[in-house]
Amino acid sequence: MASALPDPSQPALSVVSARGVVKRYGSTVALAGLDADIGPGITGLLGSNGAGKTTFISLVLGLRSRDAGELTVLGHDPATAGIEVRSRMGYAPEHHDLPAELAATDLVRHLSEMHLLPQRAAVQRANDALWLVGLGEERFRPVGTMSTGQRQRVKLASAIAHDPEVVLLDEPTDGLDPMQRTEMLDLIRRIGTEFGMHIVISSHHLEEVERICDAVVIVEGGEVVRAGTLADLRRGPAGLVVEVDERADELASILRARGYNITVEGDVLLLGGEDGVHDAVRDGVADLGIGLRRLGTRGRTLEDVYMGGAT
Amino acid sequence: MSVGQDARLFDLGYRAYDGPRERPARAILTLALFTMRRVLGLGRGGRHKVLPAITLAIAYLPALTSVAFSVLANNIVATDLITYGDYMFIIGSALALFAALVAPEALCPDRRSGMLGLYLAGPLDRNRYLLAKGLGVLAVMLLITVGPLLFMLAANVIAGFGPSAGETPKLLLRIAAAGLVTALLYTSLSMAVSSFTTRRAAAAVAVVLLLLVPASVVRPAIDAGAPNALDLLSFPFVVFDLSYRIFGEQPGDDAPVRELATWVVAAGVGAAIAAGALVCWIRYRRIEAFR
Amino acid sequence: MSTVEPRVVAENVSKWFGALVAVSDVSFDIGAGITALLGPNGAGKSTMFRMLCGLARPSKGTVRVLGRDPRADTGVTRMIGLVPQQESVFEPLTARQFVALSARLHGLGDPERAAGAALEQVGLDPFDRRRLPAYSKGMRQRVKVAQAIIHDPAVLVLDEPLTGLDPRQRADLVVLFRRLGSEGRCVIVSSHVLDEVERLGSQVLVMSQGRLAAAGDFRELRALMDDRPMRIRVRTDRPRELAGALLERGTAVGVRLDGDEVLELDTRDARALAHALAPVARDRHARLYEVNPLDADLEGVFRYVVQR
Repeated sequence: MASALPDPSQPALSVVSARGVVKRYGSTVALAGLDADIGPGITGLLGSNGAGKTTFISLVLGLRSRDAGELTVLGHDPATAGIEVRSRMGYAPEHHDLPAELAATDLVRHLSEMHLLPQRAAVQRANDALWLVGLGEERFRPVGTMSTGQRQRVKLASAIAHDPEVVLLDEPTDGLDPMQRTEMLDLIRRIGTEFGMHIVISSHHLEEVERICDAVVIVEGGEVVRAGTLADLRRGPAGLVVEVDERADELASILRARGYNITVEGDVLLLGGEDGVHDAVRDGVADLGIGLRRLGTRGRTLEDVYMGGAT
Repeated sequence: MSVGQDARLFDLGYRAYDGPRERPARAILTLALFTMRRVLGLGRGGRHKVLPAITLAIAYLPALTSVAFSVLANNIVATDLITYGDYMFIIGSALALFAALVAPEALCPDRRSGMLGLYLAGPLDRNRYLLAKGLGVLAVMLLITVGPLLFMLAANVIAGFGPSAGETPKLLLRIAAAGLVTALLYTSLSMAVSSFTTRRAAAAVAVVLLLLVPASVVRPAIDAGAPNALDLLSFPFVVFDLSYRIFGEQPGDDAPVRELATWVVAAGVGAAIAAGALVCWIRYRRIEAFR
Repeated sequence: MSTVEPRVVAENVSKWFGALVAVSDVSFDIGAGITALLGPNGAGKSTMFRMLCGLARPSKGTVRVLGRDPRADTGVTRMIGLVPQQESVFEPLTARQFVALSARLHGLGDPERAAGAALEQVGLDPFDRRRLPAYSKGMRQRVKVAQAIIHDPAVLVLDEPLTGLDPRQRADLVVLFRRLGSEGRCVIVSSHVLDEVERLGSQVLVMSQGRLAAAGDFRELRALMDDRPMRIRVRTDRPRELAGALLERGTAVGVRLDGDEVLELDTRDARALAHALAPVARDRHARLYEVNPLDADLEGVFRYVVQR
């Protein structure tokens, strides 16, 4: 099986590259000069509804034309080479409207053929894709009889069955309950890491993006406000988090008396990571005879990055 | 391999696709074929085949009856059989019914269900989509226009009134022309109507109305003094008349369109076909398929 | 608002539609503060919600909101504020006009002023002249909340209230909801996004297969999951010594060593382990770098509860 890891000797592939992209609908400006570089791996497009994510996706797919700026997708301009671009991509839209009468296998097979797979290959790959997303016998049922969770999986299967280079997923966990959400995210992570497809997930769920993405592009008001790999973005001074089951303020006093800088939030203390802090905490807790629920370093989370605002 | 050799674990993981891929234009053909199958009810439950089957049966009935007649009867005279020119006129209702079934089924559900968006998110654009749909609908309409005419040819041959070797290519060409132009008109008009609504039933009714109402309004108007040229709006009768002319026959009645020169009638039909296609194209340019 | 604590009480509530049992013998008693109603799709949550709001009648059992039947007693609906999931049809009104409309429907005196106050509470500008269709989804969501709290309801019902919002908008609303809850209102939230629910509070009701599968503080629920020992991950410079000591004392019932520094301890008494860790580590001169209970978050509890 071919390795999906990027070859370090090759220059980094740009999946999507945008410079100054503008899109207006009448007097509303949906994208106000968006700059972004989306590379290989799993990238999250993070922003609230109305921030411009869906508009950007429509431009990437060449389904709408932009008013200004440059956009390159897999080396082509979707405005002029839309057909070429779309033949190499898979897409799962946000909405759940699918033809009700078609059985899931027929739908996925047909869409694979429409994405230029030869007939026999389409049959086989549709079958494989549906098993992969966890639709076993349900695949023969009409899509109209399926639950939201099953539909999300059908959409995912149709997006990947033709083995595209890039898959665009718009709110793939919408409507799913917590367990289904976890399964879907794990599945997407697998697809992105093992199968050699680049994935772009458009979502407003920060925790989900943080969980499975390698890089993130944060969109707000039609512009990119932060972007980068998760590793880079989360770099920052590490602190220590201590959660106890009672008397947090007393523990804080003890530690302050020893010269440490502390903030207290309920049962949780936050300290800087200076020398000797671990033992000081341990001893303070032992002396007070309280319970130590949690201890650990706390790097920046994506939320910190987000709330920190644009650089 | 036989059991007893070295045990092997097979990897059921994902397999990338390294095989050949079709060219983008292939998607047009795929969609056209898919559309044809869907509107004829193939690959769907039995009840979706009923109406198309009945309509086709009605359309072929005169031809098949003629064939049977030719085979069984004695002393047939040429005028016993239905003429080619007459045929389209005779099965006019079946044609209307078929058109009202096919185009709405081909176009409306895609817009209703979000499928159009999924198609356009692939190697298709709106023009190619319409082309594919148009080809699919046209191919199916040809089944009901050229098909029966070919059966009539068989009936004539069996009865001994078939064309001579020299005349055959010309006759076949005429059959093709008449069948094609009739199918084109019905395809174009029914697709134009279907581009206005996502409800199949409403589109079907509208198609039938379009094929009935203009003629019933125009003809009395002409009787009351309006110019004959107005009769070019009497679809589908204009194309039936063109059919007669293609076969060099005289129709039985004296509709106003008879008064018009052949090139005028042909131009009128051509204009109607173009107009329908244009309307459909314009409607589809505006539809918001991406949500 | 009255000084009596608002309560929402369900007693042996069942609801069926023909042969389909949506809710089966559910009882709970919700007081002031924020309570999350959770469950897989099809567990009966939405039906339960509808019954709480008086939109459906139980087939069996009783629902009492503030002591009254929300279905029969239309007066009590004036004390309930509902933020529904569906996107409302927003007329081309300004936010203030829209919220004032709600005030009028509730028969409030001086609806304009009340609307202004409610909008300020949710962090919107009451003097914004823009019409609602021009608002972003996050702002529209806040308008929905303003509309729901304008009559100062004792009970607030929120159905997926944080959908579509970015983390900043979400954080603002979380602060608002927590404040509303701490003001003595009974706030009931339904959501599928557990990360968001965790920020609102720790009181949960979990439904599964139409029945109530769990109720209470989810951290305490974890401790109750006694057929599954809690697993705590510890990173220390002396894992074997620490593990040995804890096993000897009986505080840990199982241990797994992972590399040179990491221990995974199983325990049936998380509280005892939490109290033993620091003193035992000190005693054995072991430095503690990390202590992390695995599977103790809301997601872990949820998964356990619905999979039983």
